[in-house]
Amino acid sequence: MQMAANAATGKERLEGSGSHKPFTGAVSVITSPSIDAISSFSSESLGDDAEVIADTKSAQTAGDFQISIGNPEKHVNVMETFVSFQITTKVLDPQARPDLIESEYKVRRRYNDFLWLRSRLVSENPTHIIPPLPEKHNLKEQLDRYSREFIHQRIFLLQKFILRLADHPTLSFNKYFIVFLTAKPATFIQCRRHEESILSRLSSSMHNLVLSHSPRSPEFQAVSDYISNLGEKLHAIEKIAHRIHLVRKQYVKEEKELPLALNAWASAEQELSHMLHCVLDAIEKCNAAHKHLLTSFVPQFLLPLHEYTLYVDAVKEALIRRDHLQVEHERMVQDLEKKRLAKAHVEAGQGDSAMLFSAFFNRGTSDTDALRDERLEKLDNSIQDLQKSIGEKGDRTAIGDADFCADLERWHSVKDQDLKTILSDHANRHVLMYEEVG
Amino acid sequence: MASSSEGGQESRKAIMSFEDTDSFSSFKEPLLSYLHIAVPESEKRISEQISVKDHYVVYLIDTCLWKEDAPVSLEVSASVWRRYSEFELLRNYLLFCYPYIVVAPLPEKRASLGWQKPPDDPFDPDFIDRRRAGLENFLLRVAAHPVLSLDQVFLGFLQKESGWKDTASERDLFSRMDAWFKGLNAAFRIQKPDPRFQEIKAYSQELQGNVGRILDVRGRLSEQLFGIHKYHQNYGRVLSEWSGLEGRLGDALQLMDDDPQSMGHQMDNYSGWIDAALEEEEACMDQLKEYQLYSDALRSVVHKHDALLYQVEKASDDLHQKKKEKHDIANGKVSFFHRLLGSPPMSDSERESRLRAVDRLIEDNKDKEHQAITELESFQELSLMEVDRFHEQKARDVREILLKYINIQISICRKGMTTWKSVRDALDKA
Repeated sequence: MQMAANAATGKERLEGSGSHKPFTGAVSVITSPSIDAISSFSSESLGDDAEVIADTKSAQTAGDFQISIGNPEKHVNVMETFVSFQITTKVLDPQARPDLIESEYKVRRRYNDFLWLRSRLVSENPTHIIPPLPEKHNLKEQLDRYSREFIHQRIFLLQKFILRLADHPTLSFNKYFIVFLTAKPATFIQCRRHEESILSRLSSSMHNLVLSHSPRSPEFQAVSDYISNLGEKLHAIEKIAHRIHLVRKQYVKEEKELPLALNAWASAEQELSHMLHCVLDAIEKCNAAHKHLLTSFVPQFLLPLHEYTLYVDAVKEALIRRDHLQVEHERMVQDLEKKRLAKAHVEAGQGDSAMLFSAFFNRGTSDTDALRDERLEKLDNSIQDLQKSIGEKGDRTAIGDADFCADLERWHSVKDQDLKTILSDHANRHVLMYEEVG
Repeated sequence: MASSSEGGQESRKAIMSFEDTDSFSSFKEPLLSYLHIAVPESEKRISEQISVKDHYVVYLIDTCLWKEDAPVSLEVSASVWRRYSEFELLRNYLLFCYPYIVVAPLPEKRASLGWQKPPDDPFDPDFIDRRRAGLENFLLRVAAHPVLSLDQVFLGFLQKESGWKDTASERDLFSRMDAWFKGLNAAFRIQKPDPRFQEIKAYSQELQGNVGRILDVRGRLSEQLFGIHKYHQNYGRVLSEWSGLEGRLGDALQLMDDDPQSMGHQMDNYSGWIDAALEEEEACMDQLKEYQLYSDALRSVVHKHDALLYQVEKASDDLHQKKKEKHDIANGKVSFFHRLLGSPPMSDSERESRLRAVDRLIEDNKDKEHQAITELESFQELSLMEVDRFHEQKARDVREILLKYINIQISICRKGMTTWKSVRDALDKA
């Protein structure tokens, strides 16, 4: 209930300076000039972009949830300046989600929180394909990373991320995901801190593992090839789209001049002026249509396309994590082989170098048998341990592979669908443009 | 370097139909109604006269009589080759002989304001062909004119291998040119400019500016549209590569190279047909450009008028001067010059003879003034009529050009729509 109250008063509360605490934990909070900035984000004042914003703000259904991200706020304090986003989650099917008590949650998260969530998901589910987040801003965007355009693009991609998670059969039940969607600021910060300390201790083990390249099975090699090829193609298309976008921008800009020129001429001609005015009107109409196409181009085509290039990278990452598991497994199998070999040697009484050494140092042969027994026992133990852990590891690898394959399959079907939608939407927009002109 | 004269045929028809319905058909029938004129071909030639190789292009003029009862003597059919410089000579000749007529302009020597960069090579086949079309258009315009088309030099130009040039030169071109250049400066000294011609002058400047601006913007637009379409070709390439990786989606992207439904194919298409469409648009804009060049022709009429006006003003000034002189002599006033010399006052007989001399001069000047005025008046009458004629022709032509332009735009949009629609269908099917 308190949560609901929170949600209800959330907006007012967050606009006050007190709201900055949960995100930074910092004591000194400067009342931000953000209120101006925030109001500039509200959809009423957006004019041309209003439709686009409405698109990204509207809640979308995925899995058992209806989730929307929006209402960005700029926070300024001594340490840093950042933007937070409001995430509104509605639980559509309470029966299916006994882990969620409320029917609606409203929380505020910043980009870093998203990063945290993703890293948690990655380390918990290394062989799942974790959907991508938007990149950290590059240098150029750094300059205007509080620009409306940048924020809206980010919202779009963040929402995509959350929706893809919500749609996922495993990931949507992940406890961090639930915490992320529901936890009150204080709880969330606590959870984050706690996890971060664990994370920092664990994180190194994964990365230090050197990937000695044992060949992947052809099945995964094919996946890897496909993914990198697809990535290339999508990248190429994105680049082309960018180029076209730029040229079209120029085109629309110049097209505006034509009516002006015609108008000037029309005023100098008596007989032709009517005709010229008709042409002028038509061109203005075309221009409006072109402009329409132009403004919808980024949110409707370029951005979804970009998300897919990121998604492809996410698949690549998952593939690499899967490879790690395979390598670990293979290494253990190799160890086991070595130990077994050693055991065989000991049993056969053939001196390997170690045996020779010990024999040399002990000088006698009387205690060799006892020593041998001792060694055999040791080896047996370690072999048993290894076998056990190999079994576990093997199971994990198998499960991981299965997870990955399942995810990949899901990914494929979603991808086909999504890309198809993106492309046909793109086509449709062109058709609409031409219809508008006609 | 053969090229179709289809475009020329069209414009000839356009000009013809205009003549048929025109209020000027009360004039003598123009040459075009019984002579078929076309410039179907061009050829590159080399002349090696003065040890330096000189490349030039000649254009073939085909003429063919199609009515028996021609009022002027003409060959039944003739073919002559002419250089661009000869066209220039012809036009200059016509300008000098018919100063009151708005003579159609020649196509530009160098292409400008196009959507593609003007070729560096003056012998670029596309450029030559556009010039060929322009020259044909010029001949048709002259031939459609009731007065110009019956000029002997023009007829010679059309049909005689040689000889016409001598006639053109015989008419003392250079002295005319001299007078014309003097006329150029006259505009600055005219005391009472004629508002009607001032208006024409202002109009011609506006026409040049406005049409120029439209052409300029249009050129840049086409360039960008061209770019947009061409970039889509890259989609085509990438999509067909991509389709190799995909299953069912791949079918929609590109099933086979010859599948007209696939997106990749459509993208290739999208970039393919834009060339033809823009070429058509370019031809259409060339016609509009003719009107930009017409502004010079208009101005030259104004200049000549101003020159005549200046003559009239000068003649009446002279007359006024002489009258004043006569008055002075009659009243016994001594000119400043005489006073300075301290010469004795004139005797009566001397005064008599001087008065007679001045009277004679006055008579001369009166004649001169009268002559200049009649010349001016007839020029004004004729040239205003010609300018009206020009406006009528222009209104008709520009309307047609605009219609053509609109149709081209519509067809571009239609094609674009079909392309994207089939892309959508292909994707929906997958």
